[in-house]
Amino acid sequence: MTLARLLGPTDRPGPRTNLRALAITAAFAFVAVSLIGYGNSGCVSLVVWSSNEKSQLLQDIAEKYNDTGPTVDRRCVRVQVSTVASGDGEAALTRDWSPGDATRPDVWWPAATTWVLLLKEHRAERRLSDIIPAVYQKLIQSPLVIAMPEHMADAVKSSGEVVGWTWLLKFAQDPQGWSRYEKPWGHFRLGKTNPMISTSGLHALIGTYNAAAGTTGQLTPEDVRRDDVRAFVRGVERSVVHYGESVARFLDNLWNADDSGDALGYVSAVAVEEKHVFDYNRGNPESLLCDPLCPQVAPQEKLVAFYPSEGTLIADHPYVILNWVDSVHRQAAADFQRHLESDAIQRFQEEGFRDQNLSAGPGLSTKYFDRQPPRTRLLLPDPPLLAEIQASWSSLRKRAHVLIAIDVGRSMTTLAQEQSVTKLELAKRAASDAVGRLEPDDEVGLWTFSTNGDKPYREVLPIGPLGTGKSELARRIETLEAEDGTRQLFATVLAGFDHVRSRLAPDRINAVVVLGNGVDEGTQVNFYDLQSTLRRQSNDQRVRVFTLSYSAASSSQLRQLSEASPGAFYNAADPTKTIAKLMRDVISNF
Amino acid sequence: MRAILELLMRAIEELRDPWALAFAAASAYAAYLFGGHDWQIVAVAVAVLAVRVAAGLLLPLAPVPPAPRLTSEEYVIARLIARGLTNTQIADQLKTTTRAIDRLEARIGAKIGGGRDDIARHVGTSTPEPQPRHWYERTVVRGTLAGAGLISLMWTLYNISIRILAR
Repeated sequence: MTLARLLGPTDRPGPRTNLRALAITAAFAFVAVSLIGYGNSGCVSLVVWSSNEKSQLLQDIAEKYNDTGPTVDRRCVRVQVSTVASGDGEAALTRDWSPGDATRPDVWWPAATTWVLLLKEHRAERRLSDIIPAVYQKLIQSPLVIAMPEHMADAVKSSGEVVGWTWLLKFAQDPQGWSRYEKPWGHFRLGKTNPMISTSGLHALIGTYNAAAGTTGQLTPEDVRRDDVRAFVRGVERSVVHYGESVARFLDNLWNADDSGDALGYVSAVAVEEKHVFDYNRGNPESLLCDPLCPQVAPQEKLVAFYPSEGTLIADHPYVILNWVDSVHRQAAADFQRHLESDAIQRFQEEGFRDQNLSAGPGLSTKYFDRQPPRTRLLLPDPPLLAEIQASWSSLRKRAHVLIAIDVGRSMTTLAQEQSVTKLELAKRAASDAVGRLEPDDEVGLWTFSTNGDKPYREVLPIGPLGTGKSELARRIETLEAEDGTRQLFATVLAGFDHVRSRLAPDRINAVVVLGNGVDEGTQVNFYDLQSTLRRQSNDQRVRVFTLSYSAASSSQLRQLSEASPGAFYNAADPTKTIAKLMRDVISNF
Repeated sequence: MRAILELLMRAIEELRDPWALAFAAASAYAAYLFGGHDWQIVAVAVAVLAVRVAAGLLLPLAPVPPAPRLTSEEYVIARLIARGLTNTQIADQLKTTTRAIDRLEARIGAKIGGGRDDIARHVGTSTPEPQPRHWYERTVVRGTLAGAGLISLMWTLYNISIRILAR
């Protein structure tokens, strides 16, 4: 009743049109809608972190997908693929990211569920929120295999032996080496990658533990802590040539060795995924895109995949839509996932992956692969134990015997690219970082070069065990200062090489690490002589040279030196790589 | 209290404009088309209505001058004139003289300001008045129709523009 009175009489005359008020309202509506339109005009960008071996392929798939004009909530979607090694991704995600960070991933697509379990465990340890959804799909798969060069594979096959982790240990510890099969290839040499970063490395480690404990079921904490199990794992690690931070780096070295006709001398077996073997055999050791030609020619000596008799782990590539994404990104991620599952799955199979049912694509020929799914699939241990296994590696791995040589010439006082510190400061940080990552019983020495003394280098600290404190070396690094001497790069490398060689430790990884900035400034040592000295080492007593370059000028010389030995070259002049990450990669080799 | 109530009543009075409703609906739809979030869609509609109310309160229409009041006698004559009868016919009907009707016509004309045609326009035709509807019913119906018209216009323009952009 009151309302009726408030609203007034029923038959009031129609309101007169207030044109001025309407004009203002219309103008306001137009502006407001335009602002909303402008504010939402940008595309939804979906950041996907992909592991190395599928990253270029995924980038190509994503580009084609973007071209189809996908939308979510009437907004266009752009998928951006970043290459982040599985272990690096796991490490990066163990901290909290601010929601405004444009590089924060929406989807994490590591190579294996193993990393997802590790992330869950590590985040729980740090009392961070759970960012892993309860359900995530595993899209493509690739089993871990023991890959051997074709000639060696034939020798083993004709002997009728069954290849597995136990066989590997027995063979690796056999002082006869390949002469057991009446072959001239010296000792058995295993190639492995760092289990902190690489999926193959982590899976190989778990596989070794399983073999050591003699179980195909889930490992128990008792299994892992048993002394004989640890001894077994340590034994397998001892046969390692050097660790690579990624399979790509390792296979690239193998390809170079093959190119100079020495594939059999570099390594006897590598623990990698089937997909890597497929890529290596077609001349694509770094798993780039073959479009239509691969970056390199196919190697002479192809790899043959052996499926460990005790069972193997499978890289199952879980597509993880992280919990912190909003609903728009979640929908976009789900739509991209559907695309991967339906349209793109064939593409993955053609590129050497298996699908969800482990059925192989046309590329996995019976000559080098077993097209059947692996008979035994090892179960992953519980997450806490998984973390323990991963952490145990640093105490079980092969020890290093390494000399670090740092350039302290005047040019090192120039500012590093896009950074406000000198190159020397960066090099010092890198070296301290490296020391922090090594174990007390690793043996490390420190030299500087471009110094004023009578010798081309100065010995700052002789090679010796780091010790528990690690303080002496760290303190020496801290006090390094720039000097005005001539840079006798080749003489220093040769002297360092001879020095390490003179006190070679056969059960360790022997290496020289050179942090250099610039070309050699005239020494008596000839570059080509030095190269061939490094190359013509006996395979069982190799000293490897790892080089890190701070300037574009010195890149080529340092690269060639590292390839001769063969070690690895890292470019610190590349501003996209942080020095800490590079040094981590260098140290991964030990 | 009373002042607030009066202000509220005036605000509601402004909302009787069907075009306010139509603009609000069309803006919400345009925001949806441009990919606005749900809250943006709701907010833009509410804001449009609020701006219409504010503009109406700040820029009111000039008051309408009061309509000239005819006496009942004058009104009867005016209606008959509007029906198209001549003064003689009217005089016959009302049992009076034509002169009297002429005089009344002149008085009505002076009040309204115009001739016979203006008188007819002033009192309307003989067709029956439409049934009065409640004002809010009128507002909602007209506003919805106008809003639907704007929305279909928007939809057409949107489709044309995305087709041009996609080319």
